[in-house]
Amino acid sequence: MELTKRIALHRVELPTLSWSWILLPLFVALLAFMLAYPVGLLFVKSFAINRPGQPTAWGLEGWIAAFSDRGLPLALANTFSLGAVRVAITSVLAVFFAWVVTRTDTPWKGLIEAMLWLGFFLPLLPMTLGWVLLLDPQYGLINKFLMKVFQLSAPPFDIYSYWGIVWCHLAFSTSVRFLLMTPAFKTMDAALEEAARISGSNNLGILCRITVPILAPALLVSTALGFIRSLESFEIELVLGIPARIYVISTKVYDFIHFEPPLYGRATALCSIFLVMIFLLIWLQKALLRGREYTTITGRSYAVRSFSLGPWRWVTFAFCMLFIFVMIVLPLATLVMGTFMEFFGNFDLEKPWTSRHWATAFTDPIFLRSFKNTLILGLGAGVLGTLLYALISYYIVRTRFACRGLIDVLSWLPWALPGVLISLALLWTALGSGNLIKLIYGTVFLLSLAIIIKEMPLGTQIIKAGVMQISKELEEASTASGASWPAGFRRIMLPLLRPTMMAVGIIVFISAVRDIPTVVFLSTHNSRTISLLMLDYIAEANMEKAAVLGVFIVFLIFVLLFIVRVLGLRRVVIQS
Amino acid sequence: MNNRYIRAALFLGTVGFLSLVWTNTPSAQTKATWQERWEKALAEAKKEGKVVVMAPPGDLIRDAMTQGFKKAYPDISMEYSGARGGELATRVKAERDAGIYSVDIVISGTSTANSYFKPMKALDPIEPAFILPEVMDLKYWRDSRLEFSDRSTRYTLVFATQNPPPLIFNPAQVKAEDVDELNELLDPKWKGKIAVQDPIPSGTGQGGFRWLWHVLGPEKAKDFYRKMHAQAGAIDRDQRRQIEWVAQGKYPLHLSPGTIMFQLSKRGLKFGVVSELKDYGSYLSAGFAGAMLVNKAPHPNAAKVFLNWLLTREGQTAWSNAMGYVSRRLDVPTDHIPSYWIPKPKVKYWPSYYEEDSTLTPEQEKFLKEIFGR
Repeated sequence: MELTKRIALHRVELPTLSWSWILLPLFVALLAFMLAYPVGLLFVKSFAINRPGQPTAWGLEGWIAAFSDRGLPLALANTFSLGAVRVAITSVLAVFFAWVVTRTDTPWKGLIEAMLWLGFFLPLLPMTLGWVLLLDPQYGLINKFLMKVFQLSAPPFDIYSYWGIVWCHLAFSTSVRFLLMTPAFKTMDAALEEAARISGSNNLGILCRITVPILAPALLVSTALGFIRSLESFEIELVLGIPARIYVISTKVYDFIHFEPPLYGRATALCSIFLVMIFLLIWLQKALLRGREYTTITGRSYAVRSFSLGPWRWVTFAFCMLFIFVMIVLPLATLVMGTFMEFFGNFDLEKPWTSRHWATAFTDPIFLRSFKNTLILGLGAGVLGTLLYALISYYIVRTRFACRGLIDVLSWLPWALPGVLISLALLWTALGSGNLIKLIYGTVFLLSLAIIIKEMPLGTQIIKAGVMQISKELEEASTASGASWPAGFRRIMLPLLRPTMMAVGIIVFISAVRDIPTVVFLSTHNSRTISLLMLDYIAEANMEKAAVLGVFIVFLIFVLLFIVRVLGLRRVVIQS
Repeated sequence: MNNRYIRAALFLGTVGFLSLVWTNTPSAQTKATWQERWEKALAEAKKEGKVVVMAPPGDLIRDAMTQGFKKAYPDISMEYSGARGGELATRVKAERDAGIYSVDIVISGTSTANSYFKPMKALDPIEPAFILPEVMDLKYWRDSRLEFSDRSTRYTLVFATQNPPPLIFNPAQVKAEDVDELNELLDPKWKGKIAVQDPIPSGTGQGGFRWLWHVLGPEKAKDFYRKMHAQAGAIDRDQRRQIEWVAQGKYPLHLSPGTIMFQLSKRGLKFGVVSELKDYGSYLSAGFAGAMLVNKAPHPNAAKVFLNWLLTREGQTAWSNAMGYVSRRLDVPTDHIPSYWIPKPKVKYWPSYYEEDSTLTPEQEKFLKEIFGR
């Protein structure tokens, strides 16, 4: 018996050692090449001060010019102020919605969850135009209605304002944070909450004293990601901020990139502010989580039970539905209506209504090819990216190998850069790293790689929080039973991480199908995607036609999710 | 007798000379040459199979070029990549640095041509690629000449020029005669009521301000810039939004509207146009109509065929219909283009597309950033 056990242990250890020694250095090198090399290239080239076509000259002029911009202090203040306000509001809302959906008996939870997912899918720019149509101080429909009904002399709302920007961000930002938090809420064992309830705590007390502290990793990650994302966000700030003369760092970066010739060096220099913020947040996150245990999934079976809210469940239901109606359904309806108008919200035209945008968007000669490329890109980036993020997360959280701290920091790097700079860095990397790498230039694979890199911070951090919740004892049991590490990872970790990975996969898929800046330098004639087709329409100021494709993408994602759900249910039926 | 011989000899000599001259006239010689050159280029182009064109983004222009060329030359396919000038140039530069030569023709703004492609040494002289008499015969072109942005080196052919109106207005709020002189825009009654196209990035905003610098002179221009900045209700880069603002009455005036106004007016937006100022006139812009032949091209013969097609009446009509540009070819119809867009005969316009004028000077750039920087 003893001998058998020793042999078994011997069997377990040897493969583990060989896997580690062979694969891990390769893995670290691959990540360094994917992340550090392009960013390093961008950093080095930010010191090039020659005009295009001139011999290369180096200097600090770009950096000095970027940081001596007289509007920078105000832009910095606006950026941090807007970010902090949004994160504060969305933290409360997202925790509340995640709690309602996963831990309470609020009616129609499935619908609430689906609608909050929808909030994430909706295209940001057309949705903002939807809000402009509703809340523009001059022609906004809600303003006009309120002025008429209440005989007001001035419009009550102005979308082109600080609070207008915060408002337009709410649906998307809350949805993202809801998506990031929900898997953690779903996999949390109810035993602790039940113990608190037996000890006399009420629902609010349980939420504040048990649920939130236990889910601290997921909450912290979602807060950090939400904050970084809010620093980077620029579409809404561009549409609403510029007329109100509210500038943020991201709109300044956008200005540098869209200058002729584009000032990529200055844009990179300014992005170093994001990098500093990321380092601060990593440090803060580590300091807050150090020395504590956050496992909620152990070898024992765990129960996920809903708690009865009594009559309060109708209050939570009403609040959720109010949020969904005001923040998601209303602008979505406006957006869909807008796709049937010649111009969004312009009712004064001779013929304000048209179906032309729908008729012509799908008859574009390159639509089918773009659609096929988009599906390959989305599925490729979604599947490969999620697996890669899972491996990275596991490597950072579970192993004691060298460089894991470095990999953790590297995995955050892409969020220090706007998509267009990632695209540029990958263009230089793909074309300047030898003939073998050059082969991927012009393929959909390179586009997938760009998206995988772009979404790496989000994917890795959220799966990392998921891995932290899974107790080590499960893997130890697997190893003791003779399973190799890959088998244990495949049979134990991946199934337990499935809800989190599904969420991440869908987020990456969405990003892949609608991201324009991250693929703009990498797409060629043969690898065009629908998002670049949208760029064609935007170039001709046809936002309505671009919005048709945006709505189509949302529809496509819903169909995909439906198929996944049906297949999932069928599998459950077959298994039972 | 002698005289008869002399006359006969003179007659024969004259006939001989004339027949000699006749058979050596350029037209006869060129006719034979262009046909041979064209057939050879076409045959080689068919073997190459495709032409790669980098040009402005937009589905209308993409379809006009790809469908039009396919109809004319079904055996040669076209890969059309549309992007902004700076992005096109950045990608081409990275490709060439890596030894990839994928592009045959670039069609872009003249600032992109002169700031990027020419210094990059990525261009071949374009004129040797012209083969068809319809393209080469100067009688078809305005002022009987081909126009180049770089007049001394002649790499970038400007094939269309139009007059971007300096101002649009909401007819319900403004009378054209109240704003058709430059200084009228500085009237206190318009304070906060003008949306100004941001003059810092390249485009019509910058073009309009460069023109003012040229016609006013540096000191007066600086004074006008300062006053206009104080007068402006909004300074924006979103072309469509500003034109919509005027159409909806949010701002009654818009200085230096974007070229996108052509597409927007075609779709039904209503606004009044001041096509030139009474006191200073207006200027000419090439927009995206700068054609360049890229060197080391992968499909040099297909590039020649495309370029010749683009510059024929057929190609220019397709371009003009899609972009709303006024071709420099005189036989291209203009009935689809609004009258304010078409340069008027006998009016002297400042051409903004010449190499020396197509970008801001360091002095202009510094001053504009001081005033309009955000």
